[in-house]
Amino acid sequence: MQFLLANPAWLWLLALGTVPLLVHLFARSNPPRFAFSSTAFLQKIMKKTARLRKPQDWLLLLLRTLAVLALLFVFLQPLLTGANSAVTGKKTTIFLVDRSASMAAKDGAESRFAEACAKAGELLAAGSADAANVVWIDAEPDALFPQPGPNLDYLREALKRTGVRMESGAISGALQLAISQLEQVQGERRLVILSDFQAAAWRDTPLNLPTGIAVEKVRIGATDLSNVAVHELFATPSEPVVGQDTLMVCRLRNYSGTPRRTTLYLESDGGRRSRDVEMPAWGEAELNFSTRFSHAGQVAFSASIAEDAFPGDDRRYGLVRARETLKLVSVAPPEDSLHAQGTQVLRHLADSLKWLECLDLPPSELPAPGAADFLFLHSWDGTQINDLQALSRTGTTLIVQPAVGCSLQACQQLMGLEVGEDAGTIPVDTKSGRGSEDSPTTPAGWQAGIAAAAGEDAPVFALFKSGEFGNPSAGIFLQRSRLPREWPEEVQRLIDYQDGVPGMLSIREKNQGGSIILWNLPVAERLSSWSAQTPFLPFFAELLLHHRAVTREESTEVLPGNTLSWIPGEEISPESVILVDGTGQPQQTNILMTPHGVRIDSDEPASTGLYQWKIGDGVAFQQLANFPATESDLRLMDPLNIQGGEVVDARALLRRAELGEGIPLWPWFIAAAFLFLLAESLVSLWKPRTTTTTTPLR
Amino acid sequence: MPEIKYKFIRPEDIRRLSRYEFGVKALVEGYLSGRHRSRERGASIEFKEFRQYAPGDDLALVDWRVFARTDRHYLKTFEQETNMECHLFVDCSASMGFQEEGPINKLEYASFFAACLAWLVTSKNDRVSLQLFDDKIRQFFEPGSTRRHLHQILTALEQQKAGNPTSLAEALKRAHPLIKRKGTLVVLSDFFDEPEAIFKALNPYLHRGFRVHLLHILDPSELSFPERGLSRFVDMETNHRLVVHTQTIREAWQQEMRRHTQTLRRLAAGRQVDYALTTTTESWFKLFDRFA
Repeated sequence: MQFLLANPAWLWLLALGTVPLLVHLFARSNPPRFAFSSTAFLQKIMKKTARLRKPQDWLLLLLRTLAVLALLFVFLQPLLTGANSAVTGKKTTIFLVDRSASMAAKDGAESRFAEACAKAGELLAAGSADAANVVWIDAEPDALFPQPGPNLDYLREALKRTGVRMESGAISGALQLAISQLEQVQGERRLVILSDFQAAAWRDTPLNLPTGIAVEKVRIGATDLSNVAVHELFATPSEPVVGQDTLMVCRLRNYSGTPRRTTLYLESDGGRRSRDVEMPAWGEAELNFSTRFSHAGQVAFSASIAEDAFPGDDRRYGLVRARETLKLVSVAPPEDSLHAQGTQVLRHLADSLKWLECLDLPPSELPAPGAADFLFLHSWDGTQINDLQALSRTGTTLIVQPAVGCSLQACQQLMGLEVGEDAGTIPVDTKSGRGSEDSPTTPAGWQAGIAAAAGEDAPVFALFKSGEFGNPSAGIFLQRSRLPREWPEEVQRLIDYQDGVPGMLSIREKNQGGSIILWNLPVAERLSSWSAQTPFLPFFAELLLHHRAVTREESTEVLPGNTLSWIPGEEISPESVILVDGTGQPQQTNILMTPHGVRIDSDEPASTGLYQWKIGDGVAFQQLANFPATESDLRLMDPLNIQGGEVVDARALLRRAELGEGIPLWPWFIAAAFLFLLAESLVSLWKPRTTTTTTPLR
Repeated sequence: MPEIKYKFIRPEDIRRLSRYEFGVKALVEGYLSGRHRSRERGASIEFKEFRQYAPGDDLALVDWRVFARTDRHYLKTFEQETNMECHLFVDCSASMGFQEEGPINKLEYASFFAACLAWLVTSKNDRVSLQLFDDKIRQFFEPGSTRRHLHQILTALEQQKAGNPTSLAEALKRAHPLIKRKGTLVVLSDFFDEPEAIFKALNPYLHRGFRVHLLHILDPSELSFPERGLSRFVDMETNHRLVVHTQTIREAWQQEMRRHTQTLRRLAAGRQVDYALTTTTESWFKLFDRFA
């Protein structure tokens, strides 16, 4: 703290503080003369009382001097200011205000965000900075000013207007933005962080700031709040076929130390179902609702619970796209290949399955990314590995049947496995198909069955568990690639030949794209009798349904705080498209030209809820933004545990701000002057106690 | 002798003094026959006692009738009646010139009283002496009872002006050889001196059997020490200067004066000395009651 004078020009007044001393000295030097009979007694009395009188005189002089000085200081308008007030240059403060979803929690009547804004407003009003700015901690951190500015009133008004966002906070991004702005200014620089310091968000966020920037952490919110959240909601499969059993999975999480009981409501396709659920302390509960979709298209559904103290995460939305058909693209083998008949088998199979559409492509030709759900390569020669992997990443399930001359290395490379030593091409075994001399009616070939490693409990074989449908790979196989019997663990063995040679291997694409199935079971009638067997059709259908990509590249869910965007396609006029939110309110959009075509973006970032892109009255596309699950855990952490900066109470910060402005001290000096004068009166009236008697003189 | 007007004795004072007596009950030691009883046996008509004859006694005093009855020699003694001497000591030091609340200063007050007492003593044919002193004896008038003697005394009193430091003890010490006969010693002073020193100087007189009257004369303001703020007090005797705020020491002054007079009173009582404190606003005639 520093002591400053607002009126230093009147500093000379302090010289008047010597007046009492001068009066003391000169008034005593020239008092009125008085001829007295004898001063001997006076001298004697003075000698006796000097011991008490002198300290009393000096004390009186001191008190009078102090009283005069106190009164003189009133004219100088003294101010008590903060310690750094003497730093030259302007003072710049950036308020880093957390407006992530957790700040919507209410400790009392108002939310933490409102409290943070109010405190920031008070600090701005206290005038502790010459220039200031507000940087929001949300999904897309931004600042109110491009650089710290002097218009503090605007910042205060903006703080009053702004609301919390149901977004997670990009703390590092916000810090970087604030630092970059502070680094461009000179003078005293200060960063004030107003946040609830939610443990889940701040736990691993050190404040690595450049030197010269003072950081003050102000914790908003006092205690951990209990909360129950709809943590997750999804449908499996995410894109079911019409009529397919679809499971809507809802996960609830209890963020409190006591068991909680609540009711979950699921709204889907115009219906509403509810179920009570109990959750242990800090536990989770999962509820599954089964349904089927009767028509193709996007279907929205939502799960909600009774509103609690933190209502932001009490509802969650989901979108499922029911499809009329799945597309199987069959890349034909060379005409001279023994597998040429395989394309016909698949066409017949697709004809039998209403939900499957089969499309043939000439050899070596591949579909466009995202154009096929499944790609069957009847005779893969080991080429186009990168293109195939790209298709897999975009959600196409690859079914690859190695051709004669295909190398094991190519297969391993396609499946993303560690490539071994060059073992050359995969040997191909062939059998005639005629029976042996001992049993001429029994055709000679290989038989296959469910791999022991997969077991009948594998979902793809669930239909065959009862035995009603027999062996899914029933039949005789006359040609096979002699694949190695040992494969890494991540490779799922589905069907093995009886001698242990893999018949069908599967591996899931690492980024939740389509699966890659290494197919070693010929389907051409010349090479196997499998396609003529009864289990072939259901097995193939089950195989396709269970090896679809989990997610497609085209995502319908956006994170809150991000912009909604949709590419309507060339046949749709972008001007005719409107975006409405869950309440039916239209939203502002921007039309952008991109290399992929016209894209329509929402003007404002998305908040939680369901959004519809409409053409006229029809819904063309739906998107949703769900509450960020990480924001539901309302446990706070001590800001002291966050490396860097100083933890300051908001009141103390306000006090500092006032000090920065300077607290006027003149009332205190007036009070002090009165006190000194009162003390002077008391001291002058005080007399030492005497023990003399009161005998009369005569 | 033409009628002379004296400053310190006025006709109304003389009329008033006619009602007073001086030392009528006192035993005196005079050498002239007079109206005062004496410790000496003499030829008066007042029988005193019978005393056994001792060699050297005057045979004329032997009471032969007693001898006839008892066959022993007894002397019949009579009390001697003689005149009295009054010795006036008037302090003329500078402090006696102080006057604030009283109508006259202390020296004038003392002079009034001394003049009246001298007139009263001489009017009864007793003898009066006067010593005017400060730190030394200014003037000494030997005992006398004549009108001329009285005139000299009154004139001397009128001519005195207060000045010089005071030293009552020194004055008493120096006056002791000058006083041949014991009598009544009347000291008029403000007694701004150490009481022990005063009484030490009085001891020779007391041993000789003097009757001592100490008349302490003060201006009323010297007792009350009135408020006058911060003042430079200038000692009238020594010219010593002292800056004092009267408010701060007023109570202490009063206490000190109380202590001083109590000391004088206590020491006087221990030596059978008469002590009286008076102020210049009071009538000096009330002091004559002490000399009856």
